[in-house]
Amino acid sequence: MKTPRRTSAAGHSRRVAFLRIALPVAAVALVAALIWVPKGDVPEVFRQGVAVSDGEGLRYSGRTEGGSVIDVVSESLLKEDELTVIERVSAHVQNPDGSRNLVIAKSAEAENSMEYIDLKGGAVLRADTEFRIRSEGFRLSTSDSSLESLGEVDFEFEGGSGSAGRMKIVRRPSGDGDGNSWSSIEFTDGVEVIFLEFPESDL
Amino acid sequence: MLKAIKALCLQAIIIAVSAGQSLGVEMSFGPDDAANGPVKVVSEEVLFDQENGVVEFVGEVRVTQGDVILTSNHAKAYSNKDNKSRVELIVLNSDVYLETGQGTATANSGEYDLIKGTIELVGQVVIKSGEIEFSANGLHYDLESGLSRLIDDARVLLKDVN
Repeated sequence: MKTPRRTSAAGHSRRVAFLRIALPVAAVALVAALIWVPKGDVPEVFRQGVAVSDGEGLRYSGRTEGGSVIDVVSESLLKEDELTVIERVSAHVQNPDGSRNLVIAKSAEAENSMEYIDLKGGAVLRADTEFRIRSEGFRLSTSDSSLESLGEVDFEFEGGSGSAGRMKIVRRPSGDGDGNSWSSIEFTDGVEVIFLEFPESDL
Repeated sequence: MLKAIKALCLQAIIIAVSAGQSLGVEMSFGPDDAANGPVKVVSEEVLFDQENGVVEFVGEVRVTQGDVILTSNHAKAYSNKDNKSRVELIVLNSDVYLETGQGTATANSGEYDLIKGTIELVGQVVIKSGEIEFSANGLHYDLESGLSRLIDDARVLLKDVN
């Protein structure tokens, strides 16, 4: 004859035996669920979190031997609908003579050596506010602050517009013996420039 | 007989050119107001010197404005001192070729003044207008009036009538 105490002990054993099987199964199921959730559903939430966080993307700050200051920052911004994330990379180059270059691109790539940074995915370069140059991308040298297009370019300036196969902005010595330099914008591989007849009237 | 008339005509032109050498010979060289609209420059390379407001064109340079075409191997465009975005003068340094719609000219060098609307060609200038060919040391071409003036040592180049 079973006593109540014996009955209780047997029930406990059954629960323990059940849990021994059920808990590992539940854990496996939970891990599987986390792994198998379709990736398309996650990024909206995940990306919104990234968009407000800082330090996730590429950052570079440095100074060249010639004294140019380079600052590259990638940002993730939320559009007004708060669902779409815009990835944007901005690269600032401030030269000792006061001239400045700014590149806005969709993405950036750099090798471990950080010799150069490729600003890609469609990019706009503003050279000293006078020039606006569009290209698929620009390569920024971290050693001499030169900028070179990664393909064909279209450009506009206050006096006109044009197109070219390639473009680069390099620092050239002034020749004054004081080590000063200036920015030269050089278009190559077939260039077309259109000067407006009376630029002032169109400004 | 025809050869004699041609020779007489050329003689007359030579006399006219010789008489006009001190003042220059003026002739119609292109349509009125030939250079309209924007100036287009095509070349192999272009260097924008922002510091000095100079744009340098290198290799197969072709300047086009309206009916006017200028070509050279090398050219520089100079901007207004106060407004560097406004190009006022294009200097063509070597092997200059000019086409106006009515005639052509070649020279050692040339200058296109966008403010005055004039083109000056200098050095071994050879002008072809219709069937007549002239040579001079200089050519002044006014784009608004279409008139050109041969400057210094203007001559008619005689072709072998045979």
